[in-house]
Amino acid sequence: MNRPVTFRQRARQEISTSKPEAVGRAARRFMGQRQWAVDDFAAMEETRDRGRRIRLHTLANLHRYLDRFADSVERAGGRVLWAADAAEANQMIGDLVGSERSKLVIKSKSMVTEELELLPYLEKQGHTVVETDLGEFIVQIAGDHPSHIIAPVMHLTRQDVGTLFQERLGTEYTDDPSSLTQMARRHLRRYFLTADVGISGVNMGVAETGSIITITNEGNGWLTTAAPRMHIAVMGMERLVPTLADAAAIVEILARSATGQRLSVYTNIVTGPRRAEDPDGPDEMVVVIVDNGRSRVLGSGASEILACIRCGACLNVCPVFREVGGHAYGQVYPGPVGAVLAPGMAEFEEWADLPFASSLCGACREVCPVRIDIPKLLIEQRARATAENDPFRWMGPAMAVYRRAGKRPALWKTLLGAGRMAGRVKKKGEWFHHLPFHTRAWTESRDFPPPATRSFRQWWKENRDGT
Amino acid sequence: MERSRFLNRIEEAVRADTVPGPPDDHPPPRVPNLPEVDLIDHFIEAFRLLEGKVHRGPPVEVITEILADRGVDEYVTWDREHLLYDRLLDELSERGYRRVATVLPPHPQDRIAHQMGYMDVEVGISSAVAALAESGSVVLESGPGRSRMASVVPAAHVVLVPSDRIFRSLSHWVAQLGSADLPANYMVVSGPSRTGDIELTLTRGVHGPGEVHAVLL
Repeated sequence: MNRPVTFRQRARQEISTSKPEAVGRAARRFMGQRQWAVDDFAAMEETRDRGRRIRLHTLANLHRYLDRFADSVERAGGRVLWAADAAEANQMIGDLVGSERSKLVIKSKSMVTEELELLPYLEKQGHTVVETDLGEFIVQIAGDHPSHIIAPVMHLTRQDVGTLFQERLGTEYTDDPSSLTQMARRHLRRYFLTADVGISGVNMGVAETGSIITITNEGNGWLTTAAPRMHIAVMGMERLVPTLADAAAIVEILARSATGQRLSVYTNIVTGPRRAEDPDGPDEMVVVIVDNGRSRVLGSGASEILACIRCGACLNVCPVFREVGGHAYGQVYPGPVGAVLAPGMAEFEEWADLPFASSLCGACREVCPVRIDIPKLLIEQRARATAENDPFRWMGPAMAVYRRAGKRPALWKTLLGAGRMAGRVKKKGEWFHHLPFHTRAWTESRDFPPPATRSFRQWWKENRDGT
Repeated sequence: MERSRFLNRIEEAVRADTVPGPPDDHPPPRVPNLPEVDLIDHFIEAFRLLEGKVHRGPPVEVITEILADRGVDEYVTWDREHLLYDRLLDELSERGYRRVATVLPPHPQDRIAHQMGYMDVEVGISSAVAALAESGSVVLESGPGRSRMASVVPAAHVVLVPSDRIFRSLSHWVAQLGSADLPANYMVVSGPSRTGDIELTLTRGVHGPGEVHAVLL
């Protein structure tokens, strides 16, 4: 993904649009719904503890469980492919789809395929790829990128969508979400029934049974894995649990944390292709397991972030995310989880500014269903960024000047006087919007007050008698 | 990448021992500790909260009414031995309703033509192997005579629910599954298909059925 700007620049660009307002509104609603669902479930806290243990245990034994998972998938009649990086994954999937003719591919929502940029790859090969999740479909026809891992078009208003449908689908303008949804249903129906290949993501793989679990609300995930002749499931290598019972525990906290539902509408447990006697279902089922930087994170101090179950609660609760929206993060995984993941998975320096996009308030840790200590990971990433490229190198010399001045009263007074002089360029009550040199960073996101027009010493001289 | 090389790379990363917590701490299977409830009542309440409709009358009457409401005379369903009420198909055909075929043709190239037959089907009928009280869900199992498309394609889905197979939660259902091989598909359905993608406004019937009827037996 090309990324010509820093987080700060992207954030400024985003704030100037109407997107963050829509994002903030939606995020607050999500959090309200989550609270209802958390209060509703008497076993929430114990299940969160359990979920955390399951996920950490899986990560600590990931090679063993992946090995077992692959055996189980094959026992159920499926195939497993191993992709070290995005290029290899895309090539493998391209080969599976085949090149003898142009194919129709339907896709359900999957963050890992966003990460691979699979869709443009397949299109370049001459295939037609249709996103079927309503949000992703809107993103696709808009030529946009998702801004949230659960609600991809959180940044668009109903009017935006109405106009888009009018332009791209030739439908009559409406901004009624229900009518727009029905238009999408009608439009996509034929694709579902005639597609050659269905590509899904994987919310969770189950090592013991070789099942993959996909969780959706719309039914597109079910159709994608049931209608086409071939089902390709693309799975980030850490999206695994040992047993189906473990998966059930995770599912029970996932939907509550994500959208405030007890369960999502469709919890789809797929184990291999259709059996010989089954009336329908895919003839072939292939799981593509993707590393693409994950093993790098696993071997680093940030490995805990791989326990993430992708609910999006840390995005919704984050005061920074709410203000800037998902696009400001510049890559696939926004919000606090993305600020840890991106620098870990890709070239660190390229994303080293993301861990600073946080106030470290700790709200993400509070809501994380598997209690990942995101603020701690952010601080560690910051430490690494600072060690590798210290943006505060000037602090040492600056403090040396301060020390020297502090020991010489005459010099100290002169410097303070100079500061007060500088303050006079501003009228009373007016703040600095731009400071020069190294102090510029301060005024990039906030204003700086002008120095007082008289010093404390002067004030004290005049008021020491206490009248 | 070769499987062994892929796994070796992970093993090396795991050896760095950066994952917090003891590596052998796999919590033993345990169902969540939930207050005791009347399973049938709780299921009905949860199912209705999802805007599903609950029926307790004879299935053929319920289904006839749904077909008549929509003004259609065809439906998709499972083979009779997998429906909880084995007279259902006879009774529907006696009343002049027609079943649309769900078995894929033997040749893969005929698949799409067959599936286009679903384009206008509005009603699908299937049976749950279990229901979940906590979330108001029904569990559908694929297998011989049990089509997946019959439940997902139509605009209205009628599911026959055995009232003696209602479990407290998803975990309770999974806990009693045993170690037998799983079917190609278990689908846990919790209410009508829905989306909140446009301004988080809840809308029913995106790609799956917008109407779900549970007939308790």
